[in-house]
Parts: sequence; C-alpha cells; structure tokens
Amino acid sequence: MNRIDSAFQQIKERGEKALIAYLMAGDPTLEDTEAYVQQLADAGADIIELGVPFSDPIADGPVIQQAAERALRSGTSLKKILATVRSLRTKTQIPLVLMAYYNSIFRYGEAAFCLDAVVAGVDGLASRAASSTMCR
Amino acid sequence: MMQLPDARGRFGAFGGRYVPETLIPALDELAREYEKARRDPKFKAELDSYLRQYVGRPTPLYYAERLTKKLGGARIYLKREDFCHTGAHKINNTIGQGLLTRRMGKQRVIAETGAGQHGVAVATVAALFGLQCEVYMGTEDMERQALNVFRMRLLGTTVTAVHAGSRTLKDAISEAMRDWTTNVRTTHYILGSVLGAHPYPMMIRDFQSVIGRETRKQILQAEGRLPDYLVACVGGGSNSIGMFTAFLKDKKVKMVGVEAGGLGIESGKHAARFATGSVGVLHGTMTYLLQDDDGQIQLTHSVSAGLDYAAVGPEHAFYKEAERISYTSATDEEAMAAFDLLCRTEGLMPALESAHAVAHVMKLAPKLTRSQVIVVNLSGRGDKDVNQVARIKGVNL
Repeated sequence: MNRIDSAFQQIKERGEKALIAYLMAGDPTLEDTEAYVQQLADAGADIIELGVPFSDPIADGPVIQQAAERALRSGTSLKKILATVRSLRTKTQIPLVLMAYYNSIFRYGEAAFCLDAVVAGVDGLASRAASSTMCR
Repeated sequence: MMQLPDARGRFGAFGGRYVPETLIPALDELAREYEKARRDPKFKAELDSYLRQYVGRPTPLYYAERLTKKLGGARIYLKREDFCHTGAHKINNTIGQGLLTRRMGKQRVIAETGAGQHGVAVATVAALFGLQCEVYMGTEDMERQALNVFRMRLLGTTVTAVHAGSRTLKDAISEAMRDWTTNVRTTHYILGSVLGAHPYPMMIRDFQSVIGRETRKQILQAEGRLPDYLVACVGGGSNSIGMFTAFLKDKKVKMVGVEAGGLGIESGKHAARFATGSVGVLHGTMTYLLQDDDGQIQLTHSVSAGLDYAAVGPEHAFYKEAERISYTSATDEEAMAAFDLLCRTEGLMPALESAHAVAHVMKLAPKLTRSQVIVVNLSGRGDKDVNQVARIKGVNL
C-alpha cells in the first residue's frame, strides 16, 4: 500500500481526522524546509504538502506568493526540491505531496518529472492547471 | 484551411486551457454563450450597431503620402484604429464582451490593465451597459499611467492596486484571475488580448477581426489589389491577429508581427518572445514565453506598456511555427524615432505600441518599389504616451 493510503487507513483506525500541513519548499531555504518537515512530522502532521515556488501563482493568495518569492530568491528549483525529498526519505516516511504549477513540470519534462519524483519518494502531486492524465 | 482553434481550444500545439478547476465551468459557459451569440443575427446586429455608432467604425484606411515619399519605396497605408472611441482598437473587443456579459446576466465585470488602455475601454463599456466594474493594475503601472487611472475612476470604475510580484501587467492578470476564481458566478472577466484559456484567444480574435475585414475591402477599393505586406505590433497580439485574419488565405500577402525589442535583444531587457523565448504555460495558455530554465517567468522591458508582457497569443505561436506570419522586433529607440517621424511627416501621433510597427516599416519600405503596397495597423493614438515621451526626451512638463 502507498504511503498516502496507509496514512489514511491508520487515521481511520484511530478514529481521528487527518492533519495535512503545507510548506512552501525553499522558504526561506531548502535546508530549513528539510528541518521543518521533520518537525511537523514529529509534531503529529499526517501528510505534508510541499509547494513548488512559481513566479506567477494565479491560484494562490498573497501569503503564498510572498513565500514563493522568498523561496525563489534562495535559488529553489524543482530539481533541488526533489533532491531534498530524496534526502528526507532517509529520515522520515511521512507522505509528501508536491503542489506545483504546470509550467514547472512542463519545463522539467512531464515523463522525466514523474520518474524522478517517484524515485525521490514523492507520494502525490497536486498540480494547478495540468492535464489529468499526467503520471498515470 | 482548417478551422482554428479545434474543439479543445488548441491552435496546433498551442492554446488550450491550463487553469484551476474552479474556472472550467465559467469557461464552458462563456464558450457556450459565445457560440450561441455568434450564430444569433440579433447579437450580430447589436454588435455592428455599437461598432458603427459608438466606436466609430469603419475606421479609415489612409494613404500616407508624405511618409511614403520620405521613405522612398513602397506605398504605405495606415489602418486608422487610432480613430476608435477611447483611442485604440481595444474597444472592438470590450464592446463584444460587454454585450456577452449582458446576455449571460452577469452584473459585474473585472479586467487587468497594463498601460490602462484596455482598462479604460472596459470602464467605458461598463458605464455604457450599466455594469459594476473593477480593474486590476500594478502599482508600478499606476504611477506610470496616472492619467488613465483617473480616467477609469471618472467612468465609475474601481481601480485596485496590485502590489504583488513585479507590480505590472502580469501581476494584474494574476490578481484578476484570482478575483474571477472567487466571484465567478456573478462576474465576467473581460480579458484584453488574444491570451488566456479557451475561448478567450478565439473570441477576442473574432471581435478584433473586423479590422482586417474592413482593411481588405478598403485596400481593394483604393488599389484594386491586395497589399504585399501587412505590418502590426504584437504584445498579446490582438490588433495584429485582428488585421491578419482576413488575409490568411491570401498566400501572396506577407505578414509581419513586430515585438518589443526594448533595449536590444542582446541586453536581455525586451519583450521579444519569438526572439529568445521558449514554449511554456502562463495564465491559462500554452505558447511562447520569456522564462528561465526552471520555467519561472522573466521580467520584460519595453518603452511601451502595451507590449511589455512575457507571453504572446497562442495563435501567433502557431502561425510562427507554420511560417505563415513572420516576427521581428523594434527597439525602444527605433520606436521613438518612428513616433517622431509619424508626428512630423503626417501629423499623426501614434501610440508607442503602434510606433513599433511603423519602425519596421521604416526598414522595410525603402527596400520595396513604388508598385508595392504596405498596410500598417495604427492600432492606437499616442496621447496617452505624451508624458512618457517627454520623460524620455528629458522634457519637464
């Protein structure tokens, strides 16, 4: 069973509701993100969403936009985020879901992204404005 | 020639709908409503009537005799969109979308604006049709175009400052899309150029294609034949596609789109998407963009706010790859020289956007003969740019 399904199953067995936390990856740096993910996992988050910063986030509000700007200033890229996930997977098995705008994935290459994301240990993708057939 | 776009809103590999799921029903509704309206003789009659009596169409096709002599080559005609009410072609589209808003029974319209020309055209139509109106504008642009901000407010529109990002057009579009996502049931988003998700690029092209239909008739009347070249500036690309569409099947008519070369292509400070851009997705559509290797959208530069945007309309991307339309650029400096030339030889003050098209004609016309004909789309008048021009010339008004 994948990490997301098994997380929900455990939550259900405990009769609880899931706590899903969101972090903008790379805000202010990816080293910080790596530490925050572990702290959130330790503090009881069930799933963590990692935002992939984009210069023109039409589906987010000003708070996320500013977080993305900080992340981009520290040189965050999709490639570096996947490296961070790979490193995190040696420390935690908490489900990690990437939230990305489609242009980031399109530029990376859909097929290459899907492969690299799975290999790195990403469990899911929430993409703004992507085609629904991706990563099948 | 096949009908473009296809049912999914694609122009070959370009266009489509890359938007948050919440907007899909609104885009479907808009596409449906537009399709119905397009087939409705009553809508067509209403649109024609407003274009004639309110916008001032048909606009003249003017033979620029002194400019022709000065450049010493092809005969040059100017399609006078600067005659349109509010001073540019923008209102051809906003009248159309205003009428559609009324048909959809929505009471509120929103829009983005860079230079303020589209914003003023939307504010005008909102007043005309009694619609509530909010226009988003980057604070950087609000400073540069204070006069247009005041014009919109005089027309009863709320102008909302956008502080995010680069505080220019692209950020205003993002903010307008957020508003639309939230208020989609009551609100229609009047996009200003052939950009965004389907059906916008198609619908706005259709509303602007009146320019080319008139031009075709007028040049046949004046010259007894079709022109050798059509030249127009390309920001999002609505005035150019509006002029070109009626001539696409005429293989002998060459078409040139002129992008903003800014401080020069090599400087990196420009908005010439076809010069150094690559394919990507921005604001709902797949097209040529100025972006970095990670797909982050780059900042653009142009003396003309209306051309200062990182993406080009998807239909242009299609015709660029199909090699039906060729694209070039003119720098800020060349556009300024064209602005001066048109002022002094013809007594016409072009919008800085349109001056880019004239700048290309300055290079093209001398290479052609007196028996050849160029038609340039003079998409707007330059009154709005007088402050900017004074600043560039170092004149304190």
